[in-house]
Amino acid sequence: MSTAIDTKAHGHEGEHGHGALAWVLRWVTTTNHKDIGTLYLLFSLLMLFVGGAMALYIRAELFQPGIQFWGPQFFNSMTTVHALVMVFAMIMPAFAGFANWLIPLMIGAPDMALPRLNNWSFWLLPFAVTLLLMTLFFPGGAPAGGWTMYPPLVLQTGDAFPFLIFAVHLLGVSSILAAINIIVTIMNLRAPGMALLKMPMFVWAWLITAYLLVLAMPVLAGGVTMLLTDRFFGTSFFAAAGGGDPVLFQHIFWFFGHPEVYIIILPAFGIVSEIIPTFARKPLFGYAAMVYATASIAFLSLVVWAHHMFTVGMPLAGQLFFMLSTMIIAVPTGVKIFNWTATLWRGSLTFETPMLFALAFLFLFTLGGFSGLMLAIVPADIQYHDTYFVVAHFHYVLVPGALFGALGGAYYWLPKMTGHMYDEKLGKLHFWLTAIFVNVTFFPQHFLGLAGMPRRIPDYAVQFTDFNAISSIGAAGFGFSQLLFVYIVVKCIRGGEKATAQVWESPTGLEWTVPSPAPHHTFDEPPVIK
Amino acid sequence: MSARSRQDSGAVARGDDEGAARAAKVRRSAWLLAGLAAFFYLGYIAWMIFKAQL
Repeated sequence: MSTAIDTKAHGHEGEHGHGALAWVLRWVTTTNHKDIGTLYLLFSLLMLFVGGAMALYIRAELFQPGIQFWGPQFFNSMTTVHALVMVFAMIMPAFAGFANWLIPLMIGAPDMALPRLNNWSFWLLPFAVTLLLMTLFFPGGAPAGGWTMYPPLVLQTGDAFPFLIFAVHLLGVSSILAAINIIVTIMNLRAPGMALLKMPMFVWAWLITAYLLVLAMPVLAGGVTMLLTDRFFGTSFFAAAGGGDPVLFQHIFWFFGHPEVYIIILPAFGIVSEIIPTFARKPLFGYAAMVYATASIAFLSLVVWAHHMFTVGMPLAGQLFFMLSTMIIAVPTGVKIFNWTATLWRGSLTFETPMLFALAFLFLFTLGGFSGLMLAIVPADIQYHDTYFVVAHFHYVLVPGALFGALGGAYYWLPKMTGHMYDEKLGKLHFWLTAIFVNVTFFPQHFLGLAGMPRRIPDYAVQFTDFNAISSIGAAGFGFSQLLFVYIVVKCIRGGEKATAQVWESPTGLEWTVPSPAPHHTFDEPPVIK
Repeated sequence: MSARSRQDSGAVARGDDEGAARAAKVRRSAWLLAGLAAFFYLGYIAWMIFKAQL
């Protein structure tokens, strides 16, 4: 990042004059993939704290029974906006940041194929998130019907409703444009000799993710547009009184929503597939099987959506289909877990911070996957539905799954981005604090759910007090531990031990052949892949 | 795509003989994908309206 900030390094010095305005213009108008990657990553880090502050509010409210702060309406707004921010403004931009930084470097391309589109993809994001967050200050409050935006509840949202819909549209447009750019970059700008089955796993993971985005995002956009017309233009797509069907929206939402889970987790799979071979000092076990497993997971993710809706009432054949198709996802996922474990087998392992995050990912994501299998079983799901067990499940997938993937990736490539090694001792401290507190936060939520505590409630029966208190203490520890990550990143940007081009002992991939920090322009001449 | 953005695009920046052809292919692929996304978006709404009128 220090290179990216150094305007002298990229040959455009003086283009916009000097001073603060030049600095702002340089970042607003940049079309360089490393700059845009940096913007995505910094934006994502900021949103981690915005969404995290909302999570801390939720956990503070739930620390003990009774209403502690600003009442149920604000609590519901917090759960809704926390989820939307974390999904659309934090974790997706984090992986888009890595994609921007690394895909051109990994395939030997000089930049993304459509650099100005790339700039637009990023700059839509802050405006979309501003639209969403400003509703917190509206008289009627922010959206409070849950991130799933189910009608008819969401149609009761006050003045915030059109802002929510417009924000979701903008976030979708941003994602689709980024996905298009990633697909055309990978398909057209690979260095000579880099066949598809020679691409790094991270690039494969993003190629498949980008196709999922193009397939799934427009469906969500269609759904929320229909919500908008139901509210303002007299249609009845989802209004039973007008002949519509509110369950239709649930089908639309989850046709997007389940692939969205994989849109979030597949890039993390890609990052872990880069980290583990480096610190095991062995090639990735079963590379081709990993590629096919990733593609299988993506395909299956498109045909399992109604497992989120078993309680709406559906024919037995539908229940069986969605239960079995969901369980089949465990097969390609199992292939991936097996191959990562086989890569570790008899490797010369060392446990630097990225490896610690990757190993924690391996163990804890699997745990989240297992609770997902429990939820796939129809009769069990009818018991677990809308309880804290579901909250525990998806947080195990999204936090020690996706977020640990992103944090591992940040430590892994930070020396390449900044030119400095991060403080390993502090990195390990950050890892252990994060890994311990994430379990303190979310593991007790399994017990709460199994005991029958519903999700999305600001108050609860007194028998749930102890586990809620433990979970809230864990959340505070987890949240404040992330301040240490900010300190480590800032310290690394400002200085530290110089990183070599290779950074680690035996990494593979073209990104390790360029100097650290990566120059502003790389691979003007394409490398030759043997 | 404007002349400037073609100049900025990685394909042309390489300056190889295939650069312009590759830039055209990039544009074609991008429009195709954008069309696919728009088709899913508008097509789904149109299908719902059509179904509602049956």
